[in-house]
Amino acid sequence: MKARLLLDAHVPADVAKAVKRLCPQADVQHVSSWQDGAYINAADDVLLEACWQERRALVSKDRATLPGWIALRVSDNRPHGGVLFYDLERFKASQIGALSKAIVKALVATDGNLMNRWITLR
Amino acid sequence: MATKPISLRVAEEVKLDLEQIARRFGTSAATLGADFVTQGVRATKHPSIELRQTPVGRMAYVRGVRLPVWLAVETLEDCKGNANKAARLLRLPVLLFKAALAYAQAFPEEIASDRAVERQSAEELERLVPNHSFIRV
Repeated sequence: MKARLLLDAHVPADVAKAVKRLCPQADVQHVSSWQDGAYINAADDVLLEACWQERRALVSKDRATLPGWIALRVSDNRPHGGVLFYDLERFKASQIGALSKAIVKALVATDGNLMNRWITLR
Repeated sequence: MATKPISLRVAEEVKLDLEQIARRFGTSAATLGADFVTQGVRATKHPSIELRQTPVGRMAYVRGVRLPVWLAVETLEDCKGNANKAARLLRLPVLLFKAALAYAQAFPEEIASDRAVERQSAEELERLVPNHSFIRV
C-alpha cells in the first residue's frame, strides 16, 4: 500500500518517523521540511493545492478552518489529496505512538487511497 | 465592547480605496476603518501574531508558521501547562510560543470562540461537505 502523507505544522514531527516504522512503504513528510520548508507558513488553500499536486493527503487536527477550505474546493469542482483529521480529545499532543498507529490503521482501512476523502480519527 | 470615536485624516486615495473595499465587504468605510485601526494596534502590541482570513472568519496565527493561536493553547493544555514541552513538540522557539499564549491571554473570548469552531459535530461537518467519515481507533 503506497500512500503519501503530509503532517501539518502542529503534528509532532516524530509522528513521521513512527508512521514510517509501522508502514515503511508510506511516504510521510512534515510540512516544516517538505519541499525545503516552502509551505511552513502557507495558507490552508495553498497547502491543499500543493498536496493535491503531489496526490498527498494532509494529516491535521485543525478542524476549525480546513473543512471550510475543503468545502470551497469541492464547490469549485476541484479535487483534493485527502485530509486525515484527528480528534483533539482522543489524541493529546504528546501521544505520538497512539496517533501513529491510528494513522496506519486509517491507511489500512482505506488501502492508502485518501484522495477526495476526509476522515476524522477518533 | 464599548467604543469611542476618534477623528482621522488620510490621503484621498486611501479614503477612496477604503470605501471601495468596504463596499466589497458589505460594510461601511467607518466600520472597516475602525477594524483596520484595531488590527494595526494589535499587530503593534503582538508583533508575533498575524490575523488571517479563513472560511470561518478572521483567526489569529503565530507569525511565520501554520499554527493558529488556539492550537498553541490546546497544546499547552495537553502538556499540562509545560510551555517548554509544548514548544518542543511544535518545534517552535519558546519565546514565540509564549507570544502566542500572551495573545490568547489578552483576547480570551476570541480564542475561546476559535476553539469552539473546531468542535463541530459530525452532522455539521457532513453538512459542510458530504463524504466525511470517522474511523474509530
